[in-house]
Amino acid sequence: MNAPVAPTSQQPGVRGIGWSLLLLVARFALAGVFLLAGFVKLSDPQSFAFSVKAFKILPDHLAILTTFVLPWLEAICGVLLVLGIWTRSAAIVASLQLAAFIAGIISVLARGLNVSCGCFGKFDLLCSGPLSICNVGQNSLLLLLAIVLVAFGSGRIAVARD
Amino acid sequence: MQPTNSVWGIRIARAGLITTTGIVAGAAHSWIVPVSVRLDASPTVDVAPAQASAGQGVAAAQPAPAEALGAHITLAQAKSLFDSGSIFVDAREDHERSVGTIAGSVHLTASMVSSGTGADAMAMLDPAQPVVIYCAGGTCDASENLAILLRQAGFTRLHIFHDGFPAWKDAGFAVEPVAAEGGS
Repeated sequence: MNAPVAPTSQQPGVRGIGWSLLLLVARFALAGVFLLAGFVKLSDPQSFAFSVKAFKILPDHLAILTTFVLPWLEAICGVLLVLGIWTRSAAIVASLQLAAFIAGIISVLARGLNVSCGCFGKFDLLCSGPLSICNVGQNSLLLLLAIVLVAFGSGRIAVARD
Repeated sequence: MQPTNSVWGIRIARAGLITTTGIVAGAAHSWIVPVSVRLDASPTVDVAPAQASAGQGVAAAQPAPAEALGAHITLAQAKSLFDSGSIFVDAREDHERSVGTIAGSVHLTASMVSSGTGADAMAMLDPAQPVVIYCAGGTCDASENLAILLRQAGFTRLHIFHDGFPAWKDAGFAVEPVAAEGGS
């Protein structure tokens, strides 16, 4: 009848506080990983340059550019996700990065290269030792988180809800 | 105009802006902070000390005396340098070293140099003396990476023992276990 259209609770992103908390946890988890990864790489770019080189995908000059661009992107996405500013946009960028990482790792595994993950410098998250299928799983998990944030946004607890 | 479309258009445009910012920041950063991924081509030449070590037996393949050594050296050349007392540097990561290490070698990785944690190990090396770097052989990059950084640090007589630890061990040359806490 004449009830006002669709209460906002029907829309994703404007649900209950519990849902917002879940999204906050997802944001913090993804942001934490990205900030750690970005910080570690930027604090020792030479080591990360060797990691990029070890993938044997990019020519030297692009490998060096990637050495710096990737961690900056990770750090920027991390900050935006923590604050909840442009959350979906940051999550889109994070998804693309994670997809690229997954593709790179699969390419390394397919070529049988023995490469250490430059992901977090000296730190191990879920996987340790040389790159393995474990790293694909780890990144897929993060990709899933990022996709959830693209789909559902920041939740209510955010500087600028999106 | 579909509002949903325009909202997603804005989101994607913002994603593009984030990416552009990252690229600009990264490019600027790469311009300020030099990193290298290739060993420069300046020659590393040492006269192989085969004569000095003449009676000690690498029966199979002694290098010719007075042969100039390049950046990459063979097993026999490495053995000659070993016998003449050159320092060996193990560039492998910890997890690769459980199989042992070349006797008397110093553990130093590229990341130890670039992060500064390798200062003690670097102090054990003399930039004016030949230094033989090795890793796990085959496609391992660790030796070359370390050589890049040591060359920047002023080392000129660097040699990469290409076939690395597996070849050394297979040849029956001196190895030792890696000391670990509680190790026997």
